Amino acid sequence: MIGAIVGSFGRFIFLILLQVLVLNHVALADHFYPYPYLLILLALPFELPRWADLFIAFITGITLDIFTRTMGMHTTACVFIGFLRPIFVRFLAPREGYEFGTRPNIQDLGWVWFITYAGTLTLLHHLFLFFVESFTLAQFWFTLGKAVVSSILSLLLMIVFQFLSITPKRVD
Amino acid sequence: MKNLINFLTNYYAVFLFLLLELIGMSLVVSNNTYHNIRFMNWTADFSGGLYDFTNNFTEYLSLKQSNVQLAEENAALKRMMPKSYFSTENGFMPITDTNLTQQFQYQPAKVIYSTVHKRNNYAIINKGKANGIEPEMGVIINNQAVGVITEVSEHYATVMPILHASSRTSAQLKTQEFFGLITWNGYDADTAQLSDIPSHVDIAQGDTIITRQASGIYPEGMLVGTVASWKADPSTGFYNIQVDLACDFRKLHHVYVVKNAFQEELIELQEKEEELP
Repeated sequence: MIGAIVGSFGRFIFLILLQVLVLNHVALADHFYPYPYLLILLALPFELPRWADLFIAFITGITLDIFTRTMGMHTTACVFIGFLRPIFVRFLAPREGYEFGTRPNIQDLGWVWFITYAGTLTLLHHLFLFFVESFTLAQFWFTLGKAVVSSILSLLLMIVFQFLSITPKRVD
Repeated sequence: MKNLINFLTNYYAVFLFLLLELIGMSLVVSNNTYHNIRFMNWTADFSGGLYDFTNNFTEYLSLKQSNVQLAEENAALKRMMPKSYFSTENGFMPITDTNLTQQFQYQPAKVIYSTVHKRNNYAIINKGKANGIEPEMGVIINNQAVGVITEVSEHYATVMPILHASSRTSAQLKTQEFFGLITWNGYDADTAQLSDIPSHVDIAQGDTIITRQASGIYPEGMLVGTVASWKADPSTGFYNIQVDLACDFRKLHHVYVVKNAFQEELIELQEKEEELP
Protein backbone atom coordinates (compact mmCIF):
# COMPACT_ATOMS: atom_id res chain seq x y z
CA MET A 1 0.00 0.00 0.00
CA ILE A 2 2.81 2.37 0.96
CA GLY A 3 4.51 1.41 -2.26
CA ALA A 4 1.44 2.33 -4.27
CA ILE A 5 1.20 5.72 -2.59
CA VAL A 6 4.88 6.50 -3.10
CA GLY A 7 4.67 5.26 -6.67
CA SER A 8 1.63 7.39 -7.42
CA PHE A 9 3.23 10.43 -5.85
CA GLY A 10 6.43 9.94 -7.81
CA ARG A 11 4.44 9.54 -10.98
CA PHE A 12 2.56 12.71 -10.15
CA ILE A 13 5.75 14.77 -9.72
CA PHE A 14 7.48 13.31 -12.74
CA LEU A 15 4.57 13.54 -15.15
CA ILE A 16 3.58 17.04 -14.11
CA LEU A 17 7.16 18.21 -14.59
CA LEU A 18 7.42 16.41 -17.92
CA GLN A 19 4.17 17.95 -19.04
CA VAL A 20 4.89 21.48 -17.86
CA LEU A 21 8.57 21.74 -18.66
CA VAL A 22 8.77 19.76 -21.87
CA LEU A 23 5.58 18.71 -23.54
CA ASN A 24 3.69 21.95 -23.21
CA HIS A 25 6.35 23.54 -25.36
CA VAL A 26 5.91 20.90 -28.02
CA ALA A 27 3.05 21.48 -30.38
CA LEU A 28 3.12 19.03 -33.23
CA ALA A 29 1.96 20.72 -36.42
CA ASP A 30 0.87 23.64 -34.24
CA HIS A 31 -2.32 21.98 -33.10
CA PHE A 32 -1.59 18.65 -31.46
CA TYR A 33 -0.81 18.68 -27.80
CA PRO A 34 -0.11 15.35 -26.09
CA TYR A 35 -1.15 15.25 -22.44
CA PRO A 36 0.31 12.02 -21.05
CA TYR A 37 0.06 13.48 -17.53
CA LEU A 38 -3.33 11.80 -17.51
CA LEU A 39 -1.48 8.62 -16.64
CA ILE A 40 -1.33 10.01 -13.09
CA LEU A 41 -5.05 9.33 -12.85
CA LEU A 42 -5.16 6.24 -15.01
CA ALA A 43 -2.48 4.47 -13.00
CA LEU A 44 -4.17 5.00 -9.64
CA PRO A 45 -4.95 1.78 -7.77
CA PHE A 46 -8.34 0.17 -8.34
CA GLU A 47 -9.08 0.02 -4.64
CA LEU A 48 -9.27 3.79 -4.27
CA PRO A 49 -12.60 5.14 -3.01
CA ARG A 50 -14.45 7.31 -5.47
CA TRP A 51 -14.05 10.52 -3.50
CA ALA A 52 -10.27 10.00 -3.53
CA ASP A 53 -10.37 9.53 -7.30
CA LEU A 54 -12.26 12.79 -7.69
CA PHE A 55 -10.05 14.76 -5.33
CA ILE A 56 -6.83 13.49 -6.84
CA ALA A 57 -8.21 14.38 -10.26
CA PHE A 58 -9.11 17.85 -9.04
CA ILE A 59 -5.68 18.43 -7.56
CA THR A 60 -3.88 17.10 -10.61
CA GLY A 61 -5.96 19.27 -12.92
CA ILE A 62 -5.59 22.43 -10.92
CA THR A 63 -1.84 21.91 -10.55
CA LEU A 64 -1.52 21.73 -14.30
CA ASP A 65 -3.84 24.67 -14.76
CA ILE A 66 -1.72 26.78 -12.47
CA PHE A 67 1.35 26.01 -14.55
CA THR A 68 -0.26 26.39 -17.95
CA ARG A 69 -2.39 29.40 -16.97
CA THR A 70 -5.53 27.78 -18.27
CA MET A 71 -7.47 28.11 -15.04
CA GLY A 72 -10.11 25.42 -14.73
CA MET A 73 -9.80 23.72 -18.09
CA HIS A 74 -7.62 20.80 -17.04
CA THR A 75 -9.43 20.72 -13.71
CA THR A 76 -12.80 20.08 -15.27
CA ALA A 77 -11.39 17.55 -17.72
CA CYS A 78 -9.57 15.65 -14.95
CA VAL A 79 -12.55 15.63 -12.62
CA PHE A 80 -14.56 14.26 -15.51
CA ILE A 81 -12.07 11.41 -15.87
CA GLY A 82 -11.88 10.96 -12.11
CA PHE A 83 -15.60 10.38 -12.17
CA LEU A 84 -15.64 8.05 -15.18
CA ARG A 85 -12.61 5.94 -14.33
CA PRO A 86 -14.14 3.77 -11.58
CA ILE A 87 -17.19 3.15 -13.79
CA PHE A 88 -14.92 2.17 -16.62
CA VAL A 89 -12.79 -0.05 -14.44
CA ARG A 90 -15.89 -1.96 -13.36
CA PHE A 91 -17.08 -2.17 -16.93
CA LEU A 92 -13.78 -3.63 -18.15
CA ALA A 93 -13.39 -6.04 -15.26
CA PRO A 94 -12.71 -9.66 -16.11
CA ARG A 95 -15.49 -12.08 -15.24
CA GLU A 96 -13.93 -13.12 -11.96
CA GLY A 97 -13.04 -9.55 -11.00
CA TYR A 98 -9.64 -8.00 -10.43
CA GLU A 99 -7.25 -9.77 -8.13
CA PHE A 100 -6.41 -7.64 -5.15
CA GLY A 101 -3.37 -5.51 -5.79
CA THR A 102 -3.62 -5.65 -9.59
CA ARG A 103 -2.36 -2.44 -11.09
CA PRO A 104 -3.96 -0.89 -14.17
CA ASN A 105 -0.99 -1.31 -16.47
CA ILE A 106 0.23 -3.39 -19.40
CA GLN A 107 2.38 -5.61 -17.26
CA ASP A 108 -0.52 -6.70 -15.08
CA LEU A 109 -3.47 -6.73 -17.46
CA GLY A 110 -2.07 -6.89 -20.96
CA TRP A 111 -2.07 -4.78 -24.09
CA VAL A 112 -5.69 -5.10 -25.13
CA TRP A 113 -7.03 -4.19 -21.75
CA PHE A 114 -4.69 -1.25 -21.30
CA ILE A 115 -5.26 0.25 -24.73
CA THR A 116 -9.03 -0.06 -24.37
CA TYR A 117 -8.93 1.44 -20.89
CA ALA A 118 -6.37 4.18 -21.40
CA GLY A 119 -7.32 4.89 -25.00
CA THR A 120 -10.98 5.50 -24.26
CA LEU A 121 -10.41 7.58 -21.15
CA THR A 122 -7.67 9.59 -22.83
CA LEU A 123 -9.90 10.30 -25.78
CA LEU A 124 -12.73 11.39 -23.50
CA HIS A 125 -10.38 13.56 -21.49
CA HIS A 126 -8.96 15.22 -24.57
CA LEU A 127 -12.38 15.77 -26.11
CA PHE A 128 -13.57 17.36 -22.90
CA LEU A 129 -10.43 19.45 -22.62
CA PHE A 130 -10.39 20.72 -26.19
CA PHE A 131 -14.06 21.50 -26.24
CA VAL A 132 -13.85 23.39 -22.98
CA GLU A 133 -10.85 25.17 -24.43
CA SER A 134 -12.64 26.22 -27.60
CA PHE A 135 -15.90 26.73 -25.64
CA THR A 136 -17.93 26.59 -28.82
CA LEU A 137 -19.24 24.00 -31.23
CA ALA A 138 -18.56 26.32 -34.15
CA GLN A 139 -15.31 24.55 -35.12
CA PHE A 140 -16.61 21.13 -34.21
CA TRP A 141 -14.66 19.00 -36.68
CA PHE A 142 -11.44 20.88 -36.19
CA THR A 143 -11.65 20.48 -32.43
CA LEU A 144 -12.61 16.83 -32.76
CA GLY A 145 -9.65 16.14 -35.03
CA LYS A 146 -7.32 17.91 -32.65
CA ALA A 147 -8.59 15.82 -29.75
CA VAL A 148 -8.32 12.51 -31.62
CA VAL A 149 -4.79 13.05 -32.91
CA SER A 150 -3.60 14.41 -29.56
CA SER A 151 -5.13 11.37 -27.83
CA ILE A 152 -3.17 8.98 -30.02
CA LEU A 153 0.04 10.86 -29.25
CA SER A 154 -0.74 10.87 -25.53
CA LEU A 155 -1.48 7.17 -25.53
CA LEU A 156 1.82 6.39 -27.27
CA LEU A 157 3.71 8.47 -24.73
CA MET A 158 1.92 6.74 -21.86
CA ILE A 159 2.87 3.32 -23.18
CA VAL A 160 6.47 4.43 -23.54
CA PHE A 161 6.39 5.75 -19.99
CA GLN A 162 5.01 2.45 -18.72
CA PHE A 163 7.92 0.56 -20.23
CA LEU A 164 10.45 3.04 -18.88
CA SER A 165 9.20 2.64 -15.35
CA ILE A 166 9.44 -1.12 -15.46
CA THR A 167 8.01 -2.91 -12.51
CA PRO A 168 7.93 -6.68 -12.63
CA LYS A 169 4.59 -8.36 -12.66
CA ARG A 170 3.49 -9.10 -9.17
CA VAL A 171 3.88 -12.64 -8.16
CA ASP A 172 1.47 -13.69 -5.53
CA MET B 1 -35.36 10.56 5.64
CA LYS B 2 -33.51 7.29 5.74
CA ASN B 3 -34.17 6.87 2.05
CA LEU B 4 -32.83 10.31 1.39
CA ILE B 5 -29.65 9.58 3.31
CA ASN B 6 -29.32 6.30 1.48
CA PHE B 7 -29.79 8.06 -1.80
CA LEU B 8 -27.18 10.66 -0.95
CA THR B 9 -24.62 8.13 0.23
CA ASN B 10 -25.19 5.88 -2.76
CA TYR B 11 -24.72 8.68 -5.21
CA TYR B 12 -22.28 10.85 -3.30
CA ALA B 13 -19.73 10.39 -6.10
CA VAL B 14 -22.09 12.00 -8.58
CA PHE B 15 -22.70 14.98 -6.30
CA LEU B 16 -19.03 15.32 -5.57
CA PHE B 17 -18.30 15.09 -9.27
CA LEU B 18 -20.85 17.77 -10.08
CA LEU B 19 -19.59 19.99 -7.29
CA LEU B 20 -15.98 19.72 -8.43
CA GLU B 21 -17.00 20.29 -12.06
CA LEU B 22 -18.92 23.35 -10.98
CA ILE B 23 -15.87 24.69 -9.20
CA GLY B 24 -13.74 23.92 -12.25
CA MET B 25 -16.17 25.57 -14.63
CA SER B 26 -16.45 28.66 -12.51
CA LEU B 27 -12.67 28.80 -12.52
CA VAL B 28 -12.72 28.55 -16.31
CA VAL B 29 -15.30 31.25 -16.76
CA SER B 30 -13.96 33.66 -14.19
CA ASN B 31 -10.29 33.38 -15.01
CA ASN B 32 -10.19 33.23 -18.79
CA THR B 33 -11.29 36.33 -20.60
CA TYR B 34 -12.30 34.48 -23.73
CA HIS B 35 -14.43 31.98 -21.86
CA ASN B 36 -15.91 34.71 -19.76
CA ILE B 37 -17.04 36.63 -22.82
CA ARG B 38 -18.50 33.53 -24.45
CA PHE B 39 -20.29 32.60 -21.27
CA MET B 40 -21.72 36.09 -20.97
CA ASN B 41 -22.88 35.90 -24.57
CA TRP B 42 -24.63 32.62 -23.93
CA THR B 43 -26.38 33.86 -20.85
CA ALA B 44 -27.34 37.06 -22.63
CA ASP B 45 -28.75 35.04 -25.52
CA PHE B 46 -30.64 32.85 -23.15
CA SER B 47 -32.07 35.59 -20.99
CA GLY B 48 -32.79 37.71 -24.07
CA GLY B 49 -34.67 34.83 -25.66
CA LEU B 50 -36.65 34.28 -22.49
CA TYR B 51 -37.57 37.95 -22.20
CA ASP B 52 -38.58 38.00 -25.85
CA PHE B 53 -40.78 35.01 -25.30
CA THR B 54 -42.54 36.41 -22.27
CA ASN B 55 -42.80 39.84 -23.85
CA ASN B 56 -44.72 38.32 -26.75
CA PHE B 57 -47.50 37.61 -24.30
CA THR B 58 -47.31 40.53 -21.94
CA GLU B 59 -47.34 43.17 -24.67
CA TYR B 60 -50.96 42.29 -25.48
CA LEU B 61 -51.96 43.25 -22.01
CA SER B 62 -50.76 46.78 -22.45
CA LEU B 63 -52.03 47.30 -26.02
CA LYS B 64 -54.78 49.70 -25.04
CA GLN B 65 -52.43 51.79 -23.00
CA SER B 66 -49.90 51.76 -25.82
CA ASN B 67 -52.54 52.95 -28.25
CA VAL B 68 -53.41 55.93 -26.14
CA GLN B 69 -49.79 56.72 -25.69
CA LEU B 70 -49.11 56.49 -29.42
CA ALA B 71 -52.10 58.64 -30.28
CA GLU B 72 -50.91 61.30 -27.87
CA GLU B 73 -47.46 61.12 -29.32
CA ASN B 74 -48.84 61.45 -32.85
CA ALA B 75 -50.81 64.50 -31.85
CA ALA B 76 -47.74 66.06 -30.31
CA LEU B 77 -45.71 65.36 -33.44
CA LYS B 78 -48.43 66.78 -35.67
CA ARG B 79 -48.40 69.91 -33.63
CA MET B 80 -44.72 70.18 -34.38
CA MET B 81 -45.13 69.72 -38.15
CA PRO B 82 -44.09 72.76 -40.22
CA LYS B 83 -47.51 72.63 -41.89
CA SER B 84 -49.12 73.60 -38.61
CA TYR B 85 -47.29 76.88 -38.56
CA PHE B 86 -47.52 80.04 -40.48
CA SER B 87 -44.01 81.26 -40.72
CA THR B 88 -43.60 84.57 -38.97
CA GLU B 89 -39.91 84.39 -39.57
CA ASN B 90 -39.16 87.68 -41.11
CA GLY B 91 -36.29 87.94 -43.50
CA PHE B 92 -32.76 86.77 -43.44
CA MET B 93 -30.99 85.79 -40.32
CA PRO B 94 -27.83 87.80 -39.94
CA ILE B 95 -24.86 86.19 -38.26
CA THR B 96 -22.71 88.52 -36.24
CA ASP B 97 -18.99 88.08 -36.15
CA THR B 98 -16.56 90.72 -35.02
CA ASN B 99 -13.81 89.77 -37.43
CA LEU B 100 -15.88 89.13 -40.48
CA THR B 101 -18.90 90.99 -41.71
CA GLN B 102 -21.39 88.80 -43.39
CA GLN B 103 -21.79 89.80 -47.00
CA PHE B 104 -24.07 87.09 -48.27
CA GLN B 105 -27.11 85.73 -46.55
CA TYR B 106 -29.10 82.82 -47.85
CA GLN B 107 -32.72 81.97 -47.51
CA PRO B 108 -34.21 78.77 -48.76
CA ALA B 109 -37.21 79.02 -51.05
CA LYS B 110 -39.35 76.66 -53.00
CA VAL B 111 -40.01 77.11 -56.70
CA ILE B 112 -43.77 76.79 -57.12
CA TYR B 113 -43.94 77.56 -60.81
CA SER B 114 -41.39 77.74 -63.59
CA THR B 115 -41.18 77.61 -67.36
CA VAL B 116 -38.38 76.70 -69.74
CA HIS B 117 -40.01 76.64 -73.18
CA LYS B 118 -40.89 80.29 -73.60
CA ARG B 119 -38.69 82.93 -75.11
CA ASN B 120 -38.73 84.70 -71.79
CA ASN B 121 -39.01 82.25 -68.99
CA TYR B 122 -39.70 82.96 -65.38
CA ALA B 123 -40.14 81.19 -62.10
CA ILE B 124 -42.12 81.97 -58.97
CA ILE B 125 -40.87 81.23 -55.48
CA ASN B 126 -42.85 81.04 -52.27
CA LYS B 127 -41.02 83.80 -50.47
CA GLY B 128 -41.81 87.50 -50.81
CA LYS B 129 -41.63 90.87 -49.19
CA ALA B 130 -42.72 89.36 -45.89
CA ASN B 131 -39.54 87.29 -45.90
CA GLY B 132 -37.33 90.19 -46.86
CA ILE B 133 -37.01 89.32 -50.53
CA GLU B 134 -36.20 92.29 -52.74
CA PRO B 135 -35.66 92.74 -56.47
CA GLU B 136 -32.11 92.23 -57.75
CA MET B 137 -31.36 89.46 -55.32
CA GLY B 138 -29.71 86.42 -56.78
CA VAL B 139 -31.18 82.95 -56.85
CA ILE B 140 -28.94 79.91 -56.74
CA ILE B 141 -29.38 76.19 -56.58
CA ASN B 142 -26.63 73.85 -55.50
CA ASN B 143 -24.00 76.58 -56.04
CA GLN B 144 -25.22 77.13 -59.57
CA ALA B 145 -26.55 80.46 -60.80
CA VAL B 146 -30.27 80.42 -61.56
CA GLY B 147 -31.40 83.98 -61.98
CA VAL B 148 -32.43 87.25 -60.41
CA ILE B 149 -35.48 88.32 -58.44
CA THR B 150 -37.51 90.80 -60.50
CA GLU B 151 -40.98 91.28 -59.02
CA VAL B 152 -41.83 90.88 -55.35
CA SER B 153 -45.27 90.54 -53.83
CA GLU B 154 -46.15 90.07 -50.18
CA HIS B 155 -45.58 86.31 -50.11
CA TYR B 156 -44.16 85.49 -53.55
CA ALA B 157 -41.46 86.64 -55.86
CA THR B 158 -40.69 86.26 -59.54
CA VAL B 159 -37.33 85.05 -60.69
CA MET B 160 -35.88 85.96 -64.04
CA PRO B 161 -33.71 82.99 -64.88
CA ILE B 162 -30.78 83.02 -67.26
CA LEU B 163 -33.29 81.75 -69.83
CA HIS B 164 -34.68 85.24 -70.49
CA ALA B 165 -34.03 87.76 -73.23
CA SER B 166 -33.26 90.50 -70.72
CA SER B 167 -31.03 88.33 -68.61
CA ARG B 168 -27.47 89.58 -68.39
CA THR B 169 -25.20 87.63 -66.12
CA SER B 170 -21.67 88.72 -65.54
CA ALA B 171 -19.46 85.65 -65.83
CA GLN B 172 -15.86 84.66 -66.25
CA LEU B 173 -13.74 81.77 -67.38
CA LYS B 174 -12.59 80.11 -64.22
CA THR B 175 -9.01 79.47 -65.25
CA GLN B 176 -8.34 82.38 -67.61
CA GLU B 177 -10.22 85.03 -65.64
CA PHE B 178 -11.46 86.78 -68.79
CA PHE B 179 -14.99 87.92 -68.27
CA GLY B 180 -18.07 88.47 -70.36
CA LEU B 181 -21.83 88.40 -70.32
CA ILE B 182 -24.11 85.40 -70.37
CA THR B 183 -27.20 85.89 -72.50
CA TRP B 184 -29.77 83.52 -73.90
CA ASN B 185 -30.85 83.33 -77.52
CA GLY B 186 -34.08 81.56 -76.72
CA TYR B 187 -33.51 78.25 -78.52
CA ASP B 188 -32.33 75.68 -76.03
CA ALA B 189 -32.91 75.55 -72.29
CA ASP B 190 -29.54 73.81 -71.91
CA THR B 191 -27.42 76.29 -73.80
CA ALA B 192 -26.66 79.94 -73.22
CA GLN B 193 -24.23 82.30 -74.88
CA LEU B 194 -21.16 83.96 -73.51
CA SER B 195 -19.93 87.09 -75.28
CA ASP B 196 -17.11 89.58 -74.82
CA ILE B 197 -14.32 87.06 -74.45
CA PRO B 198 -11.47 88.30 -76.69
CA SER B 199 -10.60 85.92 -79.51
CA HIS B 200 -6.92 85.69 -78.58
CA VAL B 201 -7.80 83.76 -75.46
CA ASP B 202 -7.06 80.05 -75.56
CA ILE B 203 -10.24 78.27 -74.64
CA ALA B 204 -11.01 74.62 -74.61
CA GLN B 205 -14.15 72.58 -74.53
CA GLY B 206 -15.26 71.96 -70.98
CA ASP B 207 -13.72 75.11 -69.53
CA THR B 208 -15.70 76.13 -66.48
CA ILE B 209 -17.63 79.38 -66.45
CA ILE B 210 -18.47 80.96 -63.12
CA THR B 211 -20.23 84.10 -61.96
CA ARG B 212 -18.48 87.35 -61.23
CA GLN B 213 -19.39 89.73 -58.49
CA ALA B 214 -19.69 92.65 -60.87
CA SER B 215 -23.39 93.35 -60.41
CA GLY B 216 -23.41 92.08 -56.86
CA ILE B 217 -26.17 89.60 -57.55
CA TYR B 218 -24.34 86.34 -57.03
CA PRO B 219 -21.48 85.48 -54.77
CA GLU B 220 -18.35 84.99 -56.76
CA GLY B 221 -17.74 81.54 -58.19
CA MET B 222 -21.27 80.23 -58.67
CA LEU B 223 -21.18 77.74 -61.49
CA VAL B 224 -22.83 78.85 -64.72
CA GLY B 225 -21.77 76.10 -67.08
CA THR B 226 -19.01 74.80 -69.30
CA VAL B 227 -17.78 75.80 -72.71
CA ALA B 228 -19.50 73.69 -75.36
CA SER B 229 -18.32 75.29 -78.58
CA TRP B 230 -17.04 78.65 -79.83
CA LYS B 231 -16.61 80.69 -82.92
CA ALA B 232 -14.42 83.75 -83.31
CA ASP B 233 -16.16 86.76 -84.82
CA PRO B 234 -13.55 88.60 -86.94
CA SER B 235 -15.59 91.80 -87.10
CA THR B 236 -15.61 92.30 -83.34
CA GLY B 237 -12.56 90.39 -82.23
CA PHE B 238 -14.59 88.45 -79.70
CA TYR B 239 -15.72 84.86 -79.40
CA ASN B 240 -19.27 83.69 -79.59
CA ILE B 241 -19.22 80.94 -77.04
CA GLN B 242 -21.98 78.42 -76.55
CA VAL B 243 -22.27 77.51 -72.92
CA ASP B 244 -23.60 74.22 -71.63
CA LEU B 245 -25.63 75.42 -68.65
CA ALA B 246 -24.88 73.63 -65.39
CA CYS B 247 -28.26 74.25 -63.91
CA ASP B 248 -31.16 72.13 -65.10
CA PHE B 249 -33.95 74.65 -65.30
CA ARG B 250 -36.49 71.90 -65.83
CA LYS B 251 -35.88 70.66 -62.30
CA LEU B 252 -35.98 73.72 -60.11
CA HIS B 253 -37.41 72.88 -56.73
CA HIS B 254 -35.49 74.07 -53.72
CA VAL B 255 -33.44 77.17 -54.35
CA TYR B 256 -31.70 79.75 -52.22
CA VAL B 257 -32.23 83.47 -52.43
CA VAL B 258 -28.98 85.34 -51.92
CA LYS B 259 -28.92 88.70 -50.26
CA ASN B 260 -25.81 90.73 -50.79
CA ALA B 261 -25.47 93.20 -47.94
CA PHE B 262 -23.20 95.44 -50.01
CA GLN B 263 -25.26 95.42 -53.17
CA GLU B 264 -26.69 98.92 -52.77
CA GLU B 265 -23.26 100.31 -52.13
CA LEU B 266 -21.97 98.65 -55.26
CA ILE B 267 -24.84 99.83 -57.43
CA GLU B 268 -24.51 103.37 -56.12
CA LEU B 269 -20.87 103.39 -57.00
CA GLN B 270 -21.54 102.05 -60.49
CA GLU B 271 -24.23 104.67 -61.09
CA LYS B 272 -21.91 107.46 -60.05
CA GLU B 273 -19.34 106.18 -62.49
CA GLU B 274 -21.88 106.16 -65.29
CA GLU B 275 -22.96 109.71 -64.55
CA LEU B 276 -19.48 110.97 -65.23
CA PRO B 277 -19.13 112.65 -68.57
